[in-house]
Amino acid sequence: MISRGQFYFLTVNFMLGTTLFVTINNMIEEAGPDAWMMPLWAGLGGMLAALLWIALLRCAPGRSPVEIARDAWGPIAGLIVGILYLLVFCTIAAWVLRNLSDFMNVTIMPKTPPTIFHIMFLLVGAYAVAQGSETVGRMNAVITPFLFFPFWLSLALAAEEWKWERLEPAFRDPWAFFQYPSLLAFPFLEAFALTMFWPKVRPGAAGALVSGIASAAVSLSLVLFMVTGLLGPERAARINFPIYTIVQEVSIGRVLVIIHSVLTVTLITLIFVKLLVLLYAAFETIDRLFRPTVRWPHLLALAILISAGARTVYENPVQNRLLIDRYLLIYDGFYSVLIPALLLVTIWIRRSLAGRARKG
Amino acid sequence: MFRRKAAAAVALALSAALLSSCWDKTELNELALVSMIGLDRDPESGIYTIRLQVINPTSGSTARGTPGGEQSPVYTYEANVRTLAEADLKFYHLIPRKLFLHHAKAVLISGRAARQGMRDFINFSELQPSARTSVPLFVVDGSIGEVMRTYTPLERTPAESLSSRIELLADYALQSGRDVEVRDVIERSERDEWIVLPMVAVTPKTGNLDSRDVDASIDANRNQLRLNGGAVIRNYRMVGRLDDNELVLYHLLNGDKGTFVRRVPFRNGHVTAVLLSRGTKRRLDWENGRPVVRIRLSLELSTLAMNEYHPRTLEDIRALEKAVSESITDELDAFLDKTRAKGWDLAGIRSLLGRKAPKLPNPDRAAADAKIRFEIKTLFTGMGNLSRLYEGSGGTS
Amino acid sequence: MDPAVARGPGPEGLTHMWLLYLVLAPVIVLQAAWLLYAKKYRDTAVFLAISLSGFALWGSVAYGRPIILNAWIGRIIEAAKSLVSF
Repeated sequence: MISRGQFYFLTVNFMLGTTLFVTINNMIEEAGPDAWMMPLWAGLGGMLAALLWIALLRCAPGRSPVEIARDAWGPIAGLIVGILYLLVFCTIAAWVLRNLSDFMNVTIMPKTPPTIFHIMFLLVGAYAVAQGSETVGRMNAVITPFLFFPFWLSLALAAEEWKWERLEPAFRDPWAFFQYPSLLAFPFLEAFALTMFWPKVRPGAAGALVSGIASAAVSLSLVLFMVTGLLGPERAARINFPIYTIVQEVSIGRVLVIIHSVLTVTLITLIFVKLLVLLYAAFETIDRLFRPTVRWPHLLALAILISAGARTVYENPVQNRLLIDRYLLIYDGFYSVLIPALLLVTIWIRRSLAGRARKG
Repeated sequence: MFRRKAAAAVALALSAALLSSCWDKTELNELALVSMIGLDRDPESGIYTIRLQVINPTSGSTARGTPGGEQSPVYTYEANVRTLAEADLKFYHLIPRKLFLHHAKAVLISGRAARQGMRDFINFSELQPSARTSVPLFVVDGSIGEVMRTYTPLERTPAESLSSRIELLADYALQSGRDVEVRDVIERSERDEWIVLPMVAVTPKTGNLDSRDVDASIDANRNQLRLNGGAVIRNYRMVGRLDDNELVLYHLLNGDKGTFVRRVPFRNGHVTAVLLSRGTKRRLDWENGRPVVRIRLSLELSTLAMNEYHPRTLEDIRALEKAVSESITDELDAFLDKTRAKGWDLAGIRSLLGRKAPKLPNPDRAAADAKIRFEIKTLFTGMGNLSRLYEGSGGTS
Repeated sequence: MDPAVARGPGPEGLTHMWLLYLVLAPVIVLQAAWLLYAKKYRDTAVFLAISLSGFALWGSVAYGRPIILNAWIGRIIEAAKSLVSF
């Protein structure tokens, strides 16, 4: 069983994973110096969605959403929903891997073929998932201090470049989030993948999930705040990986001038945790749907599918951004809000009908 | 259990091999460590001339007396390109190692390129993920090719020499500051603010000296580089110059913290005051619809260099403080009058209005109209080593 | 904006196909054979379903006409939108 604390850290690291790469400069471009407010709104939305999931999961204790779908809608519809979720988890995993290889290729390792990154991460991830959910939870809890402290220490070392004027004029556009709601979809609604862990977490984990989402929102807001204060909105809106640039420009005294590989390792590890959760969710889905008797062949199949997906998930970062802005909220809203809501409604109707039948 | 360990070992070994060094490894001796970058553009033909000064790792203080003579500490390579992107390609005609720009300590831009505008250079440099923009940018007064073929005594790498001079000037003369880097140019230009960059020139040369001759010559004023004055930059373009005196006033206004020296008129004579600036605070007030900017400066006064006079009583001290405050206020007022008449907003009034009163209908007019009031507070804090000056008659006053 | 549709095999198209057949196909076939040998028919079916879809996707990459996933998601959503709004 995963403890509630471990589940909390899993939630936070999952949500911070690729967000710290991909969306920082977009948010600053959209909202200027007030960008730090956007994650707070999105976090509220994420917490509401989490409450929906918790309500659904409480209806059927000990069962994950895929099983709930099968119970509520029958075996055929349940199978379809299960396959849908499998594809969704695989697609997001492919997205995560592609974001990672893009980052590595642009910054530190330009000549390594992207597929090598994908396959190596999948290999190590599959090994961890094959050991079970406790391994994932425990490993994440152990490495979290090694992620948290170097990350904030690196940013703190850059603090001598802080200028409050970069954050002025403040509070001009606090509602910017509502114009650019794709932040709600990525990463907050994706946290649905964490519900596949639910049967393995100790009871009473609702608080861990919701507070994990809240913590991630606050962390993200703080990171945006620091990036704006350290780089200024003009540069941060244009630079693709602003956190990397901030740490690149840090120098400790005149001797230690190149420390940004520390940050790169931290970011890669966070992405790895995200991949792990998604891989586990996909594998659990297969597990619940088909009751397989072996593990590694299915992990191999998943690896083949996801590594292919990582090559084809988007054409290039510009096209990715355009399509995310247009479709991501609908896509994530469909599988993480609409379907759970429909399931919940079905269950309630059934229960109230059964209740009436019993009385009558 | 064994299978699990074997699987883990395989996974780790593959990761270590494939993810770290197969495709992207570079040995240190395969790198050309660039310490200084020089940018120039011919306005008529549009051809860019990029110069890179690469550190020679085999030169050192033990190289003297080796057969073949002393090695140069740096090598300057030059390439002429039509577009900046070709620079990489052209340099590999000349340089046998992979360019490593990450350790550059200084970027130089020629005066004529600065006057044409540096935005294209800067866009190009920020596009490279490996080049840092936290490097000081100098504007060259004179021929940039000459500057980049000049050695400096005492500090073997010219880029190190220049960058450490910037730090010393910032700390001890307030003729430089922290905001002289490429990224500061970006930030200020994007916000339509002004910035002043240090200027570098060549000192008179006595011939075509190599580094051994420069090191061996006792006249260190010749055959090397000198920092002199500041280039006023607006929107990526150089629009004017400040001399050394004005440079101090600019950095004072800019809020830079450092020590500087001033001759202050006092009681029918002059005294030399050593002042430490602790930064500026600005406030925006309104008087009859006209913006008034109150700039508050706090200075610490030391008599470290005051060999003309020594305060004895509290009234003397107060009078000294007052004299310093008034003198600096006068100098700053004169400086601002002169520069505002040229249309230069070196006090950052326009950006202050943009931040504190973003909804103004005509911010440029308001900035030009704004009245600037200085509130300087000088505090006597330190003395030199004497509690009383010597009083013999062999002096000049 | 329709990046997912191209005409004919891509420039490196057919040259990478043999790599695919040489490396990926044996892996899938061998694993499926092992599963059949161990009489795990359900597992074989699941394995083949997932790995063959992966193979098809890789095939599209090797062929030079990759099936761009996010473009397809966009199309599905557009189709769904027009169905709903009509």
